[in-house]
Amino acid sequence: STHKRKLDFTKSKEACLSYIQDAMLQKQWKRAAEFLACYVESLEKDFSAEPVSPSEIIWRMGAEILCHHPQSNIKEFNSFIEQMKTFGLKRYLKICLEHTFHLLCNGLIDEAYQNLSMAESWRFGECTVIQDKEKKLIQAYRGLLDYYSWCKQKNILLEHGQDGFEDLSVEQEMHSYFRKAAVNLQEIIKIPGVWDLFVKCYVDLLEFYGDHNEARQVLNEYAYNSKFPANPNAHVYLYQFLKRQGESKKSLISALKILHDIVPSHELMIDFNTMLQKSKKRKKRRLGLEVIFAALDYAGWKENVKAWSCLARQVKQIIMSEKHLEWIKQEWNSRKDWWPAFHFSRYLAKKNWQENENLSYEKAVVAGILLGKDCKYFKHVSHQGCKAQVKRFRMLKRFVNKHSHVCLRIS
Amino acid sequence: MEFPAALFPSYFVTGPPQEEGGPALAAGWGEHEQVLEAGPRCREAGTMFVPRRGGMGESWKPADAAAIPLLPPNTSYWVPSLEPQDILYRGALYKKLQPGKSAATLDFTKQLRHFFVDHPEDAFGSMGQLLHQNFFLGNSKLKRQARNSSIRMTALMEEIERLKARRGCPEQYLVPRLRWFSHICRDWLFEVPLGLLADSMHEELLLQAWSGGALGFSQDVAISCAVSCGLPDFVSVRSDYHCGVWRVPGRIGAAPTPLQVIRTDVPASCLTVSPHLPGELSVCTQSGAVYLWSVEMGLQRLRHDTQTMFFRDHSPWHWSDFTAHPRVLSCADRTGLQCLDARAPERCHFDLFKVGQEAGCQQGERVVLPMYLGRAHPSQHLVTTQFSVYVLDERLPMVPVLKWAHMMKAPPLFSHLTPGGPRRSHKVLLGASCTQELLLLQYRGGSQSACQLAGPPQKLHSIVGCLQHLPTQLPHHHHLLQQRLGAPAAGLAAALQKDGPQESLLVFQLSEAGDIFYQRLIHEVMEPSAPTLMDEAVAAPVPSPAAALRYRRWLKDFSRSHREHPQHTWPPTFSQKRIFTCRELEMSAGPSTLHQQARQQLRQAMQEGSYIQRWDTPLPQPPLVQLLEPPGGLDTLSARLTTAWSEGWCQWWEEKSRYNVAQRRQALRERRRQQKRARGRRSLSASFTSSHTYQSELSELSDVAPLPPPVSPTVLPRETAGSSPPSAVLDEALLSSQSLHCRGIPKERQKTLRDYLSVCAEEVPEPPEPLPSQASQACIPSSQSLSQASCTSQSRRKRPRMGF
Repeated sequence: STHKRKLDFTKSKEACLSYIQDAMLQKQWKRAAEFLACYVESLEKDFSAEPVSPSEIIWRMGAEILCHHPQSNIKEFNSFIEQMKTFGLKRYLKICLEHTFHLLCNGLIDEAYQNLSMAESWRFGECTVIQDKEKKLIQAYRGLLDYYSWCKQKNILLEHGQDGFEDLSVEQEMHSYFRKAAVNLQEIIKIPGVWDLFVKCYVDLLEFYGDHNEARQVLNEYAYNSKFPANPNAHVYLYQFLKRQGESKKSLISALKILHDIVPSHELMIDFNTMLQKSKKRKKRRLGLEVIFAALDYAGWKENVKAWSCLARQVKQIIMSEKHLEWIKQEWNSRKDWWPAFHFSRYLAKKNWQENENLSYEKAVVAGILLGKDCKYFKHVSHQGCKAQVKRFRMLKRFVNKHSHVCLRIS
Repeated sequence: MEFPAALFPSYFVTGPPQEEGGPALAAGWGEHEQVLEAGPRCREAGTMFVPRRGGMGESWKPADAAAIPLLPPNTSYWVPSLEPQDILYRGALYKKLQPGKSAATLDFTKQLRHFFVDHPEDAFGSMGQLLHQNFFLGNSKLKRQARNSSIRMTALMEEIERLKARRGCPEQYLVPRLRWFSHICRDWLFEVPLGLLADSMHEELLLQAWSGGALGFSQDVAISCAVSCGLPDFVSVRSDYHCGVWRVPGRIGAAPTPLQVIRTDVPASCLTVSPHLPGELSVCTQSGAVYLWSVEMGLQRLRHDTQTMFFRDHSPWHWSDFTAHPRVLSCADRTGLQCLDARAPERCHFDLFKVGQEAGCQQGERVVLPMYLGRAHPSQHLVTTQFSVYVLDERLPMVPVLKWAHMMKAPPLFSHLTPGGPRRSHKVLLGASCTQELLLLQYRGGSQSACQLAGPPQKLHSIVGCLQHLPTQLPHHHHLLQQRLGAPAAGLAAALQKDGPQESLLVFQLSEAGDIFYQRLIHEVMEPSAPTLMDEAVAAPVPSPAAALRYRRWLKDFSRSHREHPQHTWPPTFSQKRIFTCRELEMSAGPSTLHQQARQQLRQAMQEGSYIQRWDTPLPQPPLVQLLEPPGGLDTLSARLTTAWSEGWCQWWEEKSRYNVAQRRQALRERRRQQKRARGRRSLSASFTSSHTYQSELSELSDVAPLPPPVSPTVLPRETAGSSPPSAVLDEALLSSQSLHCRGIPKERQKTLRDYLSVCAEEVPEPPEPLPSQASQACIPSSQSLSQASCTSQSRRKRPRMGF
């Protein structure tokens, strides 16, 4: 009969759980809360050896319900979570971390900080791998909050500094925040992962105190360590740092070249193209053309006026100078079978003209040069432009007609 | 394309998944997962941090209490899909596993189901060998012991044959066995040469026989379409060995024009239309080949590898789709996703997603469905597994930008994206097949801000959920409906409808039975500061009058279609239309006294729980007569018969036939003389035309005799003397063609009526012995077969008297 009781209990427990789940998925938080109150009983008579303990289920569901329940407040949430912490020793750190996130999202920064400090001092037997990771995260978030405190002090100091006022205690406090933040942040960014937020803060701290070498090293490591994921932001941060440092064009270009290699569709490709176009070296101008063509391959760039004007300008330059026509030819060769349908269809000509005149102009320049004056896109847009008596369209028509012999050599 | 300035923190670990556990309960709840510094707009509003999950989402409230049928029920033939208990033997095992009796509850069906899902290769590859001993192909009967574990295939084949002959005459117990058989056949049916199949199908079509079943049996068909290339749009249709592409003109009502069809040697597993370029598609076959198919340029093979991409886990399932770059295709198998550049597929490829620690996968997790989310963000992809759903960004491969444990009972096999505009969330619908689960997720971000899950997930109505809102049904009908509505889902779609400021999302769900149900979700614009009070405003528990009307109409059509196409689960019914015309069956003005008596008796018997041995009439009657009585009530004929049985017939007869007997006799003699003259010229064989002519003659002869009172057999006519029991004589006299004729019963019906009544004549009806041709109809427990049986017995009884 004990067995039967256990069996019945398991069954009713499962049924109760599915009721809660159902209510939650239908956003019936009050109903879910009532069922959960019954489910709590399962904690007392926990016969199971399930992988997911009832305490974890109660924590997860309870937290979710309390987040949405119309009558819940942060106080109740806190007391619920505190109880949950004592139940689930195995998940203590995770619960602490989640509690912190909840407090942070509700703007309770000080409470969150206290919570993190408490979690950091928690010791219970040997740490599992997951717990070790959670500990490092707790430390990092504490470092992040230290950094925000440092920022606050810094701003006070900068404001007062302008008035010629100096406060030693504020400055000391700021320095102590810096030390705490730096110590806490530098740990996690050594481990492979996506740590954009932490890296940015740490580099900011280092730069403020003039430790540029360390900052550069951190950023290089973050961008180029092969154990880290190929995060475009890592390269962006490095590029921005180099720019702030006033580094040479060459190093900026090499930083962006790598970004171009991993994400050819990155928004910085416009900067990269402008930079390369200004270069006196032929090779770099050639790369510039390649970069802008590659960016415009992507669906997300289809209506980017900036990118189209970059391409239009460069292509126009080449045509007028009649030098390096083979550059265009090479780029166009791999695209001529699909760009016309992708960019220069009649449908797009109509759409672009209606929605964005600038875009249609820039695209028409490129279309006229690459596909000649009989291209559908060019014909439609230039016709509409002339009809609307816009001067630049008339000039464009004249330009394409004038250079049609050069255009022929490309296609 | 903008990339978020900062992404949510996460660890990056490489290697095979370490975490065990399977689907964790409640795993998708209660986590913010990570937080990130809020963007400038949010910071002005006072929030410093935003969570990866648990942020605010849009409110979409269901407009109805349940899903509503969009179209009348699909009337084509549908066999419910296989259930675990169909494959598994129940008898002996079931008894052993009564819950509570054994110490461990071993759910064998569930275990085997898991086995089938986790190791399909082992399960199905060796199925034949495993079941080899349980198939008996001989003709002899099985011994009792063997019967517990093996199935006689010949018997099954016979049953199928018989079923054909019976034209769907129902036998409930057969259904699971047939389903089971069809399941086993699935594997080898593919190997039937296509030409042969096509030939016989063509033949069938010519004969206008059912052929839909054959088509449905051998090929799965899927449709995909693209809408983003502007006009015109392209629609692709994939079946196992053929893929086709159609062009749909922009004009409404214009017919689509077929463009091209390709044939594959290996079944194609995926066909998608390019969202970027008109007339481009990607095809994927079960052998792991990925092609870029251009209507103009033809096929270009990008990859061919029978092995899975990241680790060995053989599965023929492959998938391909497009990416942000029109020349780059993604291809997927159960182990992950890869992107291939069509310009240099050998050299240029990168891994987008891999079942491993990079994405925080669990052991045993497999890709179930990938989908390109291009309409939400050009570089985003969705991947679902049995446990989680991931959003990936091509620009940051391997690291999911969003992950959520969906907690669905069955893996989400279908999904649909409804992109949200600027500052709006993207809506992703996830649908499972067997359980019909439907989940609405919202997420935002990808360009300016990092991806976030917006709001809690929302469960939508499933088709089967409307069962409780349908009017109460008879148990068997309810079961039928349950089976029909509970058929696994086969697809989903959604459309955003804008009606002024009000937005609604129409969600359509298709079931394997071919029914389409829809539901409407209404967008509620909430003030960001207002508390979420919408939650308890549950949709009205009863359907709206309009919905109720649709349910009723659907139900009506459904039961009608079931009557038209009798399916195996429909109880046997028979019609009497062919025996009597409506006029004949017309009820008399009010129930007769006898009727009332019978009714009373019946009621009494029911109260006492006893049998009705005999009616309250002194004459003993065979109970069969009562059974055969048409339920329509007493017509003039029945009234006559019942009066006859209650001894009042003689008087009744005289009342009814008030004309000169002598005159009649004279006229009859005249006629018989003429007939005899005519018969003399005919040959012997011609004289043996049918029992019908013989019988009419017989009754005519009996007419000649003076009408005998029932109790005096002395004046019996000579033809019938000593050979028939008195009641038979009565019948024959009663059923004389003339008397029938003057009742307005046409001649061709007279025989049937006589047959019908001859059963009454036999005090102990002979057991019907079906003729070989009728053997297949023996199962029909209807009056038709009984009358046929009685007909044969009668003719046999009468034949010796025909003078051969």
